[in-house]
Amino acid sequence: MRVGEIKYLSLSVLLTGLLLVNGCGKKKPTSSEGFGSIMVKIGFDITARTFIDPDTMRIDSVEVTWLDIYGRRSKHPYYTNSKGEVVLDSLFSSKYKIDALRVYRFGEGQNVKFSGSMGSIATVSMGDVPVCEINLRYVATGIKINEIYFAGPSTNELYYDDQYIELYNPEDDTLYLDGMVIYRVTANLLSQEPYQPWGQDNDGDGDIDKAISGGQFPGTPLTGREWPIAPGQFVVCACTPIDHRQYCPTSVDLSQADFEFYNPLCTRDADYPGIPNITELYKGRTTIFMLSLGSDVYVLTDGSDLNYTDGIDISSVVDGVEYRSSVPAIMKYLTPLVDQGYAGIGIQKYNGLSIERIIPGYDTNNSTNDFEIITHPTPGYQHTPADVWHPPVDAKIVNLNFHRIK
Amino acid sequence: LLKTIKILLLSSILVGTLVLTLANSIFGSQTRLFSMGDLMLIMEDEDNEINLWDFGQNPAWAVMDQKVSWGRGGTSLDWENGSYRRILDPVTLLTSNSYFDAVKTFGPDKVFFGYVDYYYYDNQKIVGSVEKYPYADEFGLLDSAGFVDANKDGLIDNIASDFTYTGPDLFAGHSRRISKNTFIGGTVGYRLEHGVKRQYIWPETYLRTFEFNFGIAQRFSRGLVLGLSFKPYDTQERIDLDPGLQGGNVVKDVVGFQWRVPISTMTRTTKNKSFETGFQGTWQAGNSLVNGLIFNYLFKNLEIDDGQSDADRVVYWQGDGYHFEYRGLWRLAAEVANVGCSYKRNYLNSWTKNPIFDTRLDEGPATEDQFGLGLGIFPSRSLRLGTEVHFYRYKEEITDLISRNIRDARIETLSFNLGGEYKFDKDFWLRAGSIYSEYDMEGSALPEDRLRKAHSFALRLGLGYSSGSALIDFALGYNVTKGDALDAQHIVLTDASRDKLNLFLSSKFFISK
Repeated sequence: MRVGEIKYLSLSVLLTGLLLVNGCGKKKPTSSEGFGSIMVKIGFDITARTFIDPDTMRIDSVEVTWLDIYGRRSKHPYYTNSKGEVVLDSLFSSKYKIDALRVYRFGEGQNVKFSGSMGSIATVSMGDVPVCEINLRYVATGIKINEIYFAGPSTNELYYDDQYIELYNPEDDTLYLDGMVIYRVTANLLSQEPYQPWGQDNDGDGDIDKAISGGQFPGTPLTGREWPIAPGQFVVCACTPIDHRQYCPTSVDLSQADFEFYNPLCTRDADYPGIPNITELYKGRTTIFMLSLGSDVYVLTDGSDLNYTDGIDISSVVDGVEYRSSVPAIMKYLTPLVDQGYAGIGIQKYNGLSIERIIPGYDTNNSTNDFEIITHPTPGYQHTPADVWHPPVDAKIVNLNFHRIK
Repeated sequence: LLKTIKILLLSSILVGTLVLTLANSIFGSQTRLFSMGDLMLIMEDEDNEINLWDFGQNPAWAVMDQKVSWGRGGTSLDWENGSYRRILDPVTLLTSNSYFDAVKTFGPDKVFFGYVDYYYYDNQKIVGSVEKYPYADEFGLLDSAGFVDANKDGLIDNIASDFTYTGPDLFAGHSRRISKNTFIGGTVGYRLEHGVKRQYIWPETYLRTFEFNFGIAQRFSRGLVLGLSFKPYDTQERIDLDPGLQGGNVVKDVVGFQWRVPISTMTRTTKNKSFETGFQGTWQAGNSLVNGLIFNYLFKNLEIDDGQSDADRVVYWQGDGYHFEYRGLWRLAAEVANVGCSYKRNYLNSWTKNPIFDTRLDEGPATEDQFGLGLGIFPSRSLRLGTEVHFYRYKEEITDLISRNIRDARIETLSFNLGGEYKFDKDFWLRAGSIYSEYDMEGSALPEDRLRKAHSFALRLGLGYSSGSALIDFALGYNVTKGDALDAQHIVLTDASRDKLNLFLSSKFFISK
């Protein structure tokens, strides 16, 4: 073979190789991964602005974290500056869900969580910095007693059959009412000295000492999944589930109630068809389930402690509310482990007023702050600011509607 | 007999399936040198010479390496078992294969060669791995905990059962002299590995490999030969999963960039396209000193495509680098002693692309270095003894651009080989050898696996028969490895060991001298 042929063959081999270098490979990306950024700006939801003192609700030190579409989470939280802004840096190219959380502490045991999130925020490493604006809103967990309508309609007929308790699911997940119990603890004192309140744990055994009655939801406590309550759903538990307006025009329609309190041993307690029962738990009790028109205590438990004779295990309590028409002179009836305040101060019998949480599910374990009096019952929905009751200027009562968190 | 073999060989060529042999195929040299403790540097063997074909892998020189026609059949059986194993390795591995390779010369200027091999792999008590070579994914693209999510919700391949592979391996080549000092050649190889695990999640894999090798060689003088070669290869692995009605998730992990793919059935396709091109050279100073040199450019890329959803894009990896190798043999004092040495270096700089965005997820080099030195003593024509020492080091420093961490790893192996052969009869050789090795490894990339320091000892025995036109080699090996391995939680170091047993038998018949 001649030298020229050798050169030709050699060149062919090398050229083929070079062609494959270009043909097989891809161009190396010029940008390195991990240099993406997102600017986060924190504000407040309008409901939070309505109910919370703006001087207290600072937007610095808000904890911000991220979750990307592949399930990766931030290894450490970021915190906003005094303007409520923070830059999330060192991100890799992806779409992100940004979560923000701020816990406000108002005295001992009063922690209020506000949070917000924003999804599908896309950033590309070494690209433009997108801005993500998040408004914080109040966060609650567990089923809440959202409204108690106990005072009766505004009438001279002493009508009170339209009482009800409204529950609410503030979570993002479905919860279940199976086997839960609503206990009526009552604002009573024990019959023996030193005449301590029923709703306290006077003997230190971890129980609310006594309750007068209790209604249990159908289903199996804790594990049952037959009676769901969807996220954001209100559940109306009526003493008598009918349209009460046919008997009292100023009353309310409860014919669409979700549950009715029912005592099969009470001959005058009708069982309305089509409406599931919250059945009286106390054996031998023959009276109808009703709410006190003045002062009372109700607790909602998970149903794990059905032995009411030794009290109610506080660890089983999901929520509890004490309401009173006036500030008690002596003592509080419900243990502060469940409720540190009172709702309904100022309500008079048969004035058509109701008490409801300021935001659905809002719960700081202090009903003084958590509830407000509203001008009419709102079964199955939340009142608006226009529904808030304002007492007469010359009223000689303590108005707590404006006694908010400071 | 010879006539029959010739007819058989010719038939093989004609039907194209029983293809011809590769002169430096593992089969021939494996049996003899294996039984002598892998003395690859100083024991000269017809399949392990320093020439452009045996050493340089340039097929153009095959016509000069193979001067006679021959055929060879053989079988091998390997068994290994023990706790010193990686997470995705089987508890017990049983491998066997049977092969036939041959060379057919057509005068001094043309040669055909090739082999056909059929193998059987039985990975016993394997968990979590549905890939044929889970650790051959050298780029770390897949979750080291296994192809499927073994610990979380969804699809779980945590049932220890057997994964068996079978398939053919075919190879053919041709080399010819086109002028007095110029040679060309080419080879083609095809291998199919079909694996089935008859257990939930019912994985079935097909691994197909095509290999080509084209070369040209020029002899400039009696002692100097230079060559150029180009070796593309293409592999594709298809993995079918069928979790049935239960469904599940497959975890995809690209250097820590992890996501899950919900599946009911799934087919994963892994494509690997690579090539190697460069030059080789050998030069000889008289009969006493022989040298070989290789410098090749390497290019590799890899794509993994699950083809499931929009969030499940193709994973792409690419790397390039070089392969450099030197080997020398110094024959001292007329067949009384040999001194051999070698140095090998593989360097690959790689990067991984973000499956969705045009950004790099990681980048960095990986390097392999290997040194060898040996001394052979030949007291008589009937006795050959030798010893070698080999040092191997793998080093990787990959920058993870997401975590800003360096994934580094260092693996070192130091081996001492000792062996020899003795002709105790007119036609029989007795062979023996041993290898002692120490393994050391460290680095942040290693905690993904569980193996730590270890040492191993191998004992080899062999018997060779050569008479006229027939060569029969038999080899037996036993290897025990003892070391430290992390427990299942990757917390506590525990003692671990693994035993291996190897058996080789080959019979070679020369058809013409």
